[in-house]
Amino acid sequence: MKNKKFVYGVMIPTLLHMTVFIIAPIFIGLFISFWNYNPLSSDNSFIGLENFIKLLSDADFWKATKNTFFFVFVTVFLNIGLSLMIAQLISYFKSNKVRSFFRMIFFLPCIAPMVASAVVFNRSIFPTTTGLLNMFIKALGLSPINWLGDQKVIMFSLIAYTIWVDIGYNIILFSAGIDGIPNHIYEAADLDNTSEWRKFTKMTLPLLSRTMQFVVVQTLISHFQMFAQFSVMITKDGPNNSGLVLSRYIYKQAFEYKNMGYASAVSFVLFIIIMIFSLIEHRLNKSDWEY
Amino acid sequence: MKKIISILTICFLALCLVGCGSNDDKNDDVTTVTWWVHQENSWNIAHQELADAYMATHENVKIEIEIFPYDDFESKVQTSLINGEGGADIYEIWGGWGIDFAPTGALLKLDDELANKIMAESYAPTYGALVANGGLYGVPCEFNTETGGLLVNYNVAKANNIANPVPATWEEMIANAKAVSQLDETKDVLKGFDFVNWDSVPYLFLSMILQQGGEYLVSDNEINVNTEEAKTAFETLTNLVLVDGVSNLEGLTGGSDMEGYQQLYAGRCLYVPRGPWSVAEGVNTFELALGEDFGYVELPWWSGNVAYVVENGWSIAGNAKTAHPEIVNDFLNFVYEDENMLKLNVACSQIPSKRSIAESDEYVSQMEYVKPLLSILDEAEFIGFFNTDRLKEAVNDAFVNYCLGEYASVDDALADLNVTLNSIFE
Amino acid sequence: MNIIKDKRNIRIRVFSFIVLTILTLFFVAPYIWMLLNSFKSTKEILLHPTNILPEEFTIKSYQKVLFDSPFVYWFRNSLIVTVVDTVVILFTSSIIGFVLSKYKFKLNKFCFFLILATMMMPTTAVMIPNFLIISKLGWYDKIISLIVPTFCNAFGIFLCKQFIDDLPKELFESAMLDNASDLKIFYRIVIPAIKPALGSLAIFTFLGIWNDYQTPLIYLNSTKNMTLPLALSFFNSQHLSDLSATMAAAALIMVPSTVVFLIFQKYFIKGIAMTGMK
Repeated sequence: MKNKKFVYGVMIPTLLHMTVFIIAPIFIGLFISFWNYNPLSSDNSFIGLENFIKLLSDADFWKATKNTFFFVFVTVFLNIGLSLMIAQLISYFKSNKVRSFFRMIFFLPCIAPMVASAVVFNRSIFPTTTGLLNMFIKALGLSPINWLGDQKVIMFSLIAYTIWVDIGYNIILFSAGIDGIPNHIYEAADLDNTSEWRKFTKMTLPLLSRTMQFVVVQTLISHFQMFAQFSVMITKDGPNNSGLVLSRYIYKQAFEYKNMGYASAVSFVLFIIIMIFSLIEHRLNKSDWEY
Repeated sequence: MKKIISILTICFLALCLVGCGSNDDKNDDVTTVTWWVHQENSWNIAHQELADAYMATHENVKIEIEIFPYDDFESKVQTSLINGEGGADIYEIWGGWGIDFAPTGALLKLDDELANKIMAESYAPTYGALVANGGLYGVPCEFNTETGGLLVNYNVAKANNIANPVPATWEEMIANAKAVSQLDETKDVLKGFDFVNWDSVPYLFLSMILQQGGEYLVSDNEINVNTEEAKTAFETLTNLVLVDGVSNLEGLTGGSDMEGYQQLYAGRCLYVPRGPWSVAEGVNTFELALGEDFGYVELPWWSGNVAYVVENGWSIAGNAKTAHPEIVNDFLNFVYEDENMLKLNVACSQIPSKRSIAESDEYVSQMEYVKPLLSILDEAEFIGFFNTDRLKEAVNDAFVNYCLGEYASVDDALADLNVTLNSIFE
Repeated sequence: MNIIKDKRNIRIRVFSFIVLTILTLFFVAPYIWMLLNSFKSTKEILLHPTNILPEEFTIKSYQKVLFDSPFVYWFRNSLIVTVVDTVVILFTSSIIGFVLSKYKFKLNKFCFFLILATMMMPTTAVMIPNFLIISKLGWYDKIISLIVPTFCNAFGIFLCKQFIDDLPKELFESAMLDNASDLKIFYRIVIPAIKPALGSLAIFTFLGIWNDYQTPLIYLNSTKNMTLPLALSFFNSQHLSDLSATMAAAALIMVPSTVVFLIFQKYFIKGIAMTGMK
């Protein structure tokens, strides 16, 4: 199918649109990072790479980076593992009603506006003295944990919340992928009485590889950029910046410190980080173009 | 199919282009100006009344008020100022934003007559951030103070056999606080003196420095806290947590479901130093009786000397790019009139920035509970021409980190703090 | 053999059911909490955070959200913007994904990579530049600023491309024999084949735009023109958060999203995806 007109007809408006609304802002953002920029004033000074040099010795920046990496890798790993498992378990039910029901349940947290659910976790579930979690823990006879105020624990609380709020999307995506595998593919395996585990690892997983690639890349990218819970659920980035991540640091620099130029520099670094990891992930998955 | 979808889409787009209006600026002789304020029920009622009063005497002007939730109000105001035409004509702004907005010419400069009147008739620390390039860029309405007032929960005092809950001296206050404090988290926590919050820690710190006769501002853009006074102040505050045990770090590190003053209303604190704005919640949300269940009294001065700093509070300013500068200036003059300011201050539970109002009987009779603060208004100094949030963050971080054991000594903590504070000026 | 297979089927289904039900409790609990809180007064939420059922059941917050705010206008605005955006994105994502997947042209890989790269820029960073562009286009304070920029959605394009990549060649063979036009192939073959992907995309896109609070807040000025998520913080003042109203608003906002989810969930029906195969 080499209909050039069709290709151009679709791609040219697309590229045009993307250039204006997506690519241009990125370059403007990068451009801003070379200046000491306050959008209100007309007198901003060009400072070249100074912002980037400042980054290297900024302890907060490195802390944010460390936190971000920890958060992303742990959460993405748990997220993908759990969502895959849940999607697979759901697929075992014959009745569409049951499957719909469970998908609905696990997707509920995604439908709720993050601001509202983060507030619920912040005020009712995680608080040290009056939160549900600790009440549960105290009932078991253990001593309460300071989920949101202890720098050693705070990141785990954020991870737990993020998994709760985000796993629904991947369950849906994996469900769509699993549902796209026609039944007859398993017929031969069933005749041989293959175990469910083998069926899953040797047949389902490989067939899901493209979905998997999409899910992993997409989850990675979105988790690097997560912002809402770090702003709403914890107090001022946690004790000693233990809950500070790069996206929050960017916001802080841009809107609280009014250092737009510096914020843009940090954004660009985050952008490069995300790009690098996506490329790595892409290389790791290169094997699956034909099957 | 494609045709149907494209037609539908175009229809929708057309609808939208038509459906969203831009303001009808001139309708016959009536000029419309917009005024943006932040969400706060009682305040918004007062804003509307003020606008109505103005419109009653100026029939050719229509003031349209838009109310925005507080959390995003600042970024909303800021982006609208960037745009130029799309923004509002009049803004309610937090004085501190003046530091970023005024020097850039984004705000409308007040005419000299009004500016001089304001500067002569208002308490000095209430408009510092609105001054730039030799002019004044907003009308201060509020004397915003976080120091000098103390919330006391009388019920908690009674339950713990504190006979005289209103402390006459700092020592008495701390003694009472120590007596009731129970910070073991496996049981019900009760804090004696919860000063650990975003505003109180830095304000107490700076106040204590000044009370010893010290200084923290060396010049307009240099701070020095490597001083004996700062060290004493820092030690006193951290000892309250580490040695006296009258509070924990929840207020700054998180992990609680309520702020300190709310916990006081819920019966989990005895004393909390906070600004007068905190009183409203006790009465309205927690339905407590001011004077019986809790009280708002004078915070005893640690050294006996009265010295403290304040930052600019809520003010009203105009957009430099407004199409109707005469109307805006006229409105600002109108707002500044005694009668209107008084109504605004009372409805918004603010301490007035205009001296004549703060000293008037009318005001005092309607705002009895801020009396403890009125007598010390003259002792306040302007905090300084810099981003106060960053100062607070720096002080709070140093405070928390020292209490968590991240520093070997107070000197180390202060040395670090000094560097961070001075980076605010870059 | 059949009996063994059936037994195993039942076993696996029971196992799944148990595991999933336990997980369900964890997933649903906070959500139910949110609902219960919406029927309590803010005072009760603050004073008695551990109460499960409301001491004093009240619908005051719902009344507040529905009547003390321009709720109806916000609902209308949200509906228009979200529906238009979702329809457009479904269309553009699938057709662009189709072109990138099945057509060989010089810049194919480059375009794909470019589109992927656009997903990677942190949104806070481009907030001000975006605003500057919209401002220059004269779209500040106009609803069009919420619609046109969303036309091309990298996530959607990526998703559709992945699913279309998976479609077997045989699906297209008959169409090639008939010399069908590209558009016909697109409508008759591609779209039905990627229904699960489109179903997911519809849900995600609807949700993303329905819950988007930042963009309308920055681009529009009059509160009446804003969208529904503004209701969440509308009753929060500088020092006080009206928790009960936030929960009530959240509950109300979730209703249409839930409906959309239930509708589009139907597209995940096993077997339909490969109807082209004979």
